[in-house]
Amino acid sequence: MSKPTDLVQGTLDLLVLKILALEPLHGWAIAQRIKQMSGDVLQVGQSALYPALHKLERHGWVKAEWKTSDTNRQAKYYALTRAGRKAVAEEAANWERLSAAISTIVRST
Amino acid sequence: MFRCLSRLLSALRSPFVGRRAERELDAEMRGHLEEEIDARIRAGASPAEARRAALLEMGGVERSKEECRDIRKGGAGRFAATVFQDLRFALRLFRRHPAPVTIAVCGLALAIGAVTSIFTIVNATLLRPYRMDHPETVVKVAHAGEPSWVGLSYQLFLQMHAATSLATIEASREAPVRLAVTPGSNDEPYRWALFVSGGYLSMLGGRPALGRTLIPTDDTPGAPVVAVVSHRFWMTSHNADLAAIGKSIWINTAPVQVVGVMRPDFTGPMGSPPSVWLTIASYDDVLAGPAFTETGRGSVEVVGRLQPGATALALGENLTTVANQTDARRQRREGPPPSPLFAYHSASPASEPRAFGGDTVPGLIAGFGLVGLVLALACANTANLLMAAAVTRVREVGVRLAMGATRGRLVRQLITESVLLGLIAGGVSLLVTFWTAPVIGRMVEVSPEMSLAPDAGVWLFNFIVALICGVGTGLSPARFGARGNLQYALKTDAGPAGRVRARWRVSFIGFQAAASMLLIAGAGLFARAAIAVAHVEIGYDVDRIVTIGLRADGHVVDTTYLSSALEAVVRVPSIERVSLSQYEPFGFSAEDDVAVRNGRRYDVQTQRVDADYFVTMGLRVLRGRAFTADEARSGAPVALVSESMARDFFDGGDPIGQSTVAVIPPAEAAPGTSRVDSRAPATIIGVVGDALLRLPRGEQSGTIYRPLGPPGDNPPALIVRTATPGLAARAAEDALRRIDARVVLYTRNLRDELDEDLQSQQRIAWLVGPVAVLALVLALVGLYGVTAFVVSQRMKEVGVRMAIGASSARVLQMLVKDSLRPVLIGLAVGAGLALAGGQLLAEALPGISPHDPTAIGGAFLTLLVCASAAVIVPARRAAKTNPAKLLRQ
Repeated sequence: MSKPTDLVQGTLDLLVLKILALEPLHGWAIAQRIKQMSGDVLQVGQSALYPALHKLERHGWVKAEWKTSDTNRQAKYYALTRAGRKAVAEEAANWERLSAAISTIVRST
Repeated sequence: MFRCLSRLLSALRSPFVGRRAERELDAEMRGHLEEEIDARIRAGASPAEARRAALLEMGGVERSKEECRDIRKGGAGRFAATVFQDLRFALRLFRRHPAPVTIAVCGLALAIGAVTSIFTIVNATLLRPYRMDHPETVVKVAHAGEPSWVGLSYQLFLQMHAATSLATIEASREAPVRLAVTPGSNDEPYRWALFVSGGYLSMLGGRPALGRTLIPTDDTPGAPVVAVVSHRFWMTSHNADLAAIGKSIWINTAPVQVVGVMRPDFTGPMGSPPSVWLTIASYDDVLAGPAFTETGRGSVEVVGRLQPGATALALGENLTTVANQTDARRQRREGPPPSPLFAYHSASPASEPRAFGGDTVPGLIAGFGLVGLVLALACANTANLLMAAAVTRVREVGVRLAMGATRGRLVRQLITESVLLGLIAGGVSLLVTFWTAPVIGRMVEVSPEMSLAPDAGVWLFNFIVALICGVGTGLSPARFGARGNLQYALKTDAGPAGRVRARWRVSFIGFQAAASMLLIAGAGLFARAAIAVAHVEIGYDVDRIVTIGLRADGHVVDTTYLSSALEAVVRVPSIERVSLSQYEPFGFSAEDDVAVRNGRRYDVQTQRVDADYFVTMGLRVLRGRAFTADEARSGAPVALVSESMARDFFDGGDPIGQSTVAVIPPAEAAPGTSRVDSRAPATIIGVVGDALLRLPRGEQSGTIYRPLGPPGDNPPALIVRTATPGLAARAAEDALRRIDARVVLYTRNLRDELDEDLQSQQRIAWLVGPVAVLALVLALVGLYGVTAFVVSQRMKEVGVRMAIGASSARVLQMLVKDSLRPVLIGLAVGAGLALAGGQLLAEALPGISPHDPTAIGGAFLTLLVCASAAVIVPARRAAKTNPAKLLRQ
């Protein structure tokens, strides 16, 4: 089980936003999608995921809605808001800058 | 802005909408789990297996739920919600343990109440600003290096009043008077009258509630004598009668017309307003005393209001110049030039240079110290109770930690409990304050004109003390509680934690024992003092003695006056005998000395009396003889000592023929030690029976009687022996007035004076009695509780020992030895502190030694018995039970 500290601070938010940019999903599905898309490298447990989701909701970047899932259950679906879309672009740019900087240092030594 | 608002709204709503949010959070987490299980079943696992694996992978859900709640509610809202929760928990806890909580609240409430009462008085007498217009520009003028109450001469005031332009200058002089609304009554209590210059009241802003105030034309010689009465006097003595204006009141039996009633919110530059304001011009008429305004001998207190831009410093220099000019002529003839004048701001008592020199203040400070100690002990007692509770709650703490509580949250929970306890106690303490503040006020003789109603300052003080007590009592239990780690909490009674517990255990008991010892020893001392005073020996015919004090300038009461006064009074039919004594029994002044012999100090009071004094008072001369008339007149170097002094100070030997030993006044420079030769050695010629001339302070005190000698600056008092005190007093007064009407007479019935003094002692006893009983209960319950609790903590150990073969006697012995050792150490420390602290209380403990063995030994034994019972009762029960049962607990 991956803990939030395994990810660079703040990257979980970016991952969640990025995934939600494709389509609205519920919590478990978001975790699955992150696992799949990272080729099983990144695993996000509920203990990191839900606080992050609630935080994003509070920021107004995502909004939640109860819908029936594929497995015919009531589940809380998260979707990006307009502010969220803007935030994805910003966060992604930030990440690019950060990872480029880190890569430069890592490669130089 | 809007976002803040909506957050706030959601925070306020949160306790109510919390339930829905909670349901959603639950559903979300459950959904996650079910999806996880489904996924595993799809991958081929059996349902049971899938469920197990899913649960394992998910881990602790509670803490992330808690995190989500925190995030959803935001900082402030979350805080508010948890405070509610903490309060609910605390109240639930209190409901579950009503007895210890009641004890803790009562103890704290009494202690906080006592502190608040004393603060109420300090606040009223020292801190509250004088109530007048613009106190910041009011100044008083005094000679440099002299206390302000010495005052300035009236003549000098008149010069300054005319000469300075930096301030308006007015004057006042106070005097005790008997004030009556009907003629002929002469048994009214003394009240203060303030004689003021014409512009005094208007300068300070003293406006009338009714009628008018005093104006400059009232303060001219020959003007009709008029008075303004205080609002309080009008309310109580005139029964708020609107027709009081224009009527007369009688001041020392002289009629005076009332022209106005002062507003209740005016005091002038003094802590409490006088009962009546009159003009300085009427001083001589009203008091029928020595000429005051004519000769300008009397002194006045000079008050001024600074003109805009003027400073107190400049005013002082200006007035010094004025004083030097006017005194220039006098200086050539008489002594050294007067000391320079200075002016100081007088906005509140505490702002004045001599604010802390008054008589009430040291008593109040001592009271503060004493009550502060009781407060600390009450806090300690409560802390101990909570501490014991914290230990038993280790399991609860463990459960809370396991349920996802953070350590900070736990500390807050524990602190909330104790703060709530403190605040409840603070609320209850206000009741205590309402009751005790006036009683303490009477004890330290605060003027009845002073309002002791609590104001905002007092409320705030009470709240802060309650808060501090709350936090203080909660702090160490909270630290202990929060230390609890999960494993230890859930396993209990195991591992290395045992040693930590043992240390806590010992310090608990020791501290509790020491605190209880101090508390009970103190209470015992007060109780013993109250009993001692109730059984005090008076030694003479107190019911038959009337004293008449003479107040006049020294040149009026001279030898001639005194001999004619004695003659006139003894001719009054109902009077048996009359004598002279420098000091009246239970009077305002006395000579306190310390006699030293063989390195031992002994408190004595010196009385100066004439030859007939002993017969008049009904005191027996046991050995030797009394003074002769000649000795008494000339102040010969002879003395009589009291029986107790002969016994205690001269060790029962015969003091006659011995010289009085070196006698030193307690403070060499104390005012009132006027006679330089007063302590010259004298030969002891007789021993007199003991007489209670005032309430004793400390255990041993004796009296030395010395001849009166020629009259000095302060006239002596007449001691009158009669079978009918009331009648005789009136007849004697009439006779004395016929000799010289300028001498002011202060007649007192000794029985009344004694009763009054005893009453103030009884009031102390009433005040201390309930506190002492409560202290005893608190201390016993506290000590029993803590000791019994600590013993009960070792039950499992007892079970183990007995299971492997210890006899019940051995186990009992071990428990008693282990538990009583800290008790004994604590009691010894407490007794030591009580012995040291008793010295501080000596003043307040008449008739007994501050190291009274009965009180301190009694406290020691009582507590020891109590602690032994607390050890033995549970220990015996444990020793008798089946070890297997103990182990199963």
